[in-house]
Amino acid sequence: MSSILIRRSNLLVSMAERGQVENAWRHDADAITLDLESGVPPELKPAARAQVREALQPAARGGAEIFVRVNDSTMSEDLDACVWPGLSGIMVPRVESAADVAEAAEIVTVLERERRLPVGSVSLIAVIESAAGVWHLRSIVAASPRVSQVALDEGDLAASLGIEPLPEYDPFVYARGRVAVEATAARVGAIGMAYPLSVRPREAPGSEIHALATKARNSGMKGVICPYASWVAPVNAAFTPTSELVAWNRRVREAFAAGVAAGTAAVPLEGRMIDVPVDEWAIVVLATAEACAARDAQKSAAKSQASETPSKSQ
Amino acid sequence: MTDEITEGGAAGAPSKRQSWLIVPPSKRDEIEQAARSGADVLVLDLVELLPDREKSSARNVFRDAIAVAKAAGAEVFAQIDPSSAETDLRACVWPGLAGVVISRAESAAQVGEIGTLLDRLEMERGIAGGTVHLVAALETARGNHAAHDILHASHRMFGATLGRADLVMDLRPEPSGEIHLMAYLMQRLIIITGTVGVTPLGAWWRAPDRGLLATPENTYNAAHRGRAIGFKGAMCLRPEQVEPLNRAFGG
Amino acid sequence: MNVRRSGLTMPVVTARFVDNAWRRSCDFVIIDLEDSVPQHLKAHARTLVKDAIASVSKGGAEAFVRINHDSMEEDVEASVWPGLKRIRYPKTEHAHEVHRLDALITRYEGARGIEPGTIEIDPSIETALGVANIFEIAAASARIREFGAATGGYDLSRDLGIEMFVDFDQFVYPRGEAELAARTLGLGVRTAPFVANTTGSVSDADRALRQAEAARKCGLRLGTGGLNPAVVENHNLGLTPTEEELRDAQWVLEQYRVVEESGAAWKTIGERVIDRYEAARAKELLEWAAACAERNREKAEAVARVKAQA
Repeated sequence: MSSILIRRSNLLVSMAERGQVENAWRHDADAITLDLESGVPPELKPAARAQVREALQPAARGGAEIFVRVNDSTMSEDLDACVWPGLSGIMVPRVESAADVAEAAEIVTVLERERRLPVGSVSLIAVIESAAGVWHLRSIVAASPRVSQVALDEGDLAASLGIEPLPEYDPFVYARGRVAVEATAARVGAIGMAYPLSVRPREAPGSEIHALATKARNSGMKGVICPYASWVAPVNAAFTPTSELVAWNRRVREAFAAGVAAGTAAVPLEGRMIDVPVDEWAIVVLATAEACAARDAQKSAAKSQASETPSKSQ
Repeated sequence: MTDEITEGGAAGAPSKRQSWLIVPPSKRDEIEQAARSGADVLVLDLVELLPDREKSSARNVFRDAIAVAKAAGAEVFAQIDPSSAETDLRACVWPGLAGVVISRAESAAQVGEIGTLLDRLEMERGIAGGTVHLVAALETARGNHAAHDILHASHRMFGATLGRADLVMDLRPEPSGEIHLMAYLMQRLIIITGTVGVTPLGAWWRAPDRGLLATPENTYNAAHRGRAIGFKGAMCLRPEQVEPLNRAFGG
Repeated sequence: MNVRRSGLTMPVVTARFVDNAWRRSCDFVIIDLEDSVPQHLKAHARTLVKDAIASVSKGGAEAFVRINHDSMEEDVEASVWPGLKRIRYPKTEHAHEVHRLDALITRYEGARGIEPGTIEIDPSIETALGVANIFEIAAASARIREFGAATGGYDLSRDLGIEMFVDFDQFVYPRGEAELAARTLGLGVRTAPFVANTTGSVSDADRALRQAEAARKCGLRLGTGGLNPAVVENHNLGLTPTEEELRDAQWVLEQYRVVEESGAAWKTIGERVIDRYEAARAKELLEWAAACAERNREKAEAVARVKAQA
């Protein structure tokens, strides 16, 4: 089975908030996105852009992948400022077409070559914020092999459609479902939160974040962009198979193997029918659990190393 | 408020078009009553509300009906049957007509044909070219499936609405109280109209009762819900539904 | 009008299931060569299909076969026999798969004296890519007469990476796309409204009834089938119109005759609307009820014949 990408939480921090950037690594996110876009007021963007290169490696102290969200209006300048060693990928906002993706991909390719980065190492997260982006999803996710994930920015989508959503009427069931299906079909990870926090993110108790992140996972999402550090822990937990789930799926594998040996591929177990797809899902869950454990171990190791090494901010 | 002019959208739509009241054109007293309802748009209907044998007489009185409706300050659209497009358009395209609702729109080709007929009639009848708008009523699965192409097919296209016709089962109650495919098609339509740049209008509001009989309160609730998912206005069938629509979509 | 309210999928290699299928009151039986048959028994499984078709049909059920995605030709060869009504093709992702299957079925129909076009194709959508290509798949062959997407499915869930048996509807998009495609193409719609299944039980007769009733109330006619005999009776029951619904339909038709005679297009009686759409629906309901009654009779007679021969 091909390796599973574990990127459960992607913590978004504004490059204009120095304290947040310096402390981002402490929150145990699988990825950190340094924001040059809507989190940075226009007058502060030039300074932010100038500082992003130096921020890349320190931000990775906790083992997170490091992304930068660029501005579509100043795409070249932003990419020029951040495609350097230490960058895992670029979050591209307001993607409406394959051409938008291709434009970013081409610039990144040139920069990777110029700067002796392994070509193809910088991945893309495409952010959809308009109806046209939702409609043209298939061509967007297929536009470049660099596209590893796709996100629906529901707040911006609502604004672009003149919608003021109400918590009791989710306007984006179709849009979200389409993102999950088209992304999965293209073997790209759909990311996003469940409604209504998907359209109006806010701080909330960990249990609420966990419940909604679990719903997002069970809607086909592979992770959540976290606008708040307090989201990271419950999101990580929601996207990690629990020990009960792991135990159940081990029992499934055992029961199924026994059934096959006895000549059947339909085995009753605890009220459920275990056949080939159930066994195949068990394999996926167990592999995901292993991959999560490995990722967590990587991050722990990075953190231990970081605490042993004196940092400039101390 | 009408949407800004975008690539796919109709130009020059200055008035508010939130409440659309559908009326048969042949009964003058009904038109007058409708005109007093406060509806932004009166839709004089040649398709749904008349038995076939009244249709030719309805065409004859259309021109007068436009005058009656406009006198009360409403814009006037006509609802036509694409299978009798030429006859219906000849009857209804007169100075004063703001637009045409294409009932059971199913293909870009139909829209093209209607656009060409409108070009000709505008010229013949002294109407400024390109000013008669279109609304596509997507009342069938086929129409919804082809929605993007249909709505993209003419610069005259102002908006789209969902009908109810052969999504027939959907008028039955279901456990959730929702018309099962309709809810899906509504959200899908918002994405398509948003992509093309035309205005999404609600269907004949019926939650939880049938559109023809929706109480003012239920009309308001359905419109309120529709607005929360992206609709900008709605069609209705009874004058008492107009004020709730204006209230739900306005402000 | 096909009456396919209830069905069971069963591994062809499990003799006691196949031998007793005729007793289950199913409208259809899906003889499985795919996921319920272990890999090492598949060659043997193919040799059993011809007899299984005859066996499961004894009680009046239609015989369908679910073949394997990756052994289309061998499985079609093993399955196309008189008495076979439909082949389910799992994990369909492209129209060309359907084209290939159509051609194979045609070849074997010809070779075995089966009326050309008899055997239907049921392309099963079980992956995200299948959902993405759903319209081209549904449109790919005249042998496709019904179409739908599961209200929950192990394979699609695995592909999307989701746990099943949660309390919210995880398949709105696939189901909506499938139903839109089916209705656009004039195919029978095989779907049901969401009724939560939080246990994963395959033998929950109550839930089966609730789901079938919910489907019937939406005007849906085709059952989605099951894995355990406990659900069959309630699938049959839930999709069959009730006496009250029949009386109401007759009343609607009488009222519509009055409307037509008066020269109007519609009228209201109390809270009810009587128009041509309501009348058409009432008429269809009565036809459906008659078809159900006929099917029940057919099956009862078939079962009686089997018992008489015992």
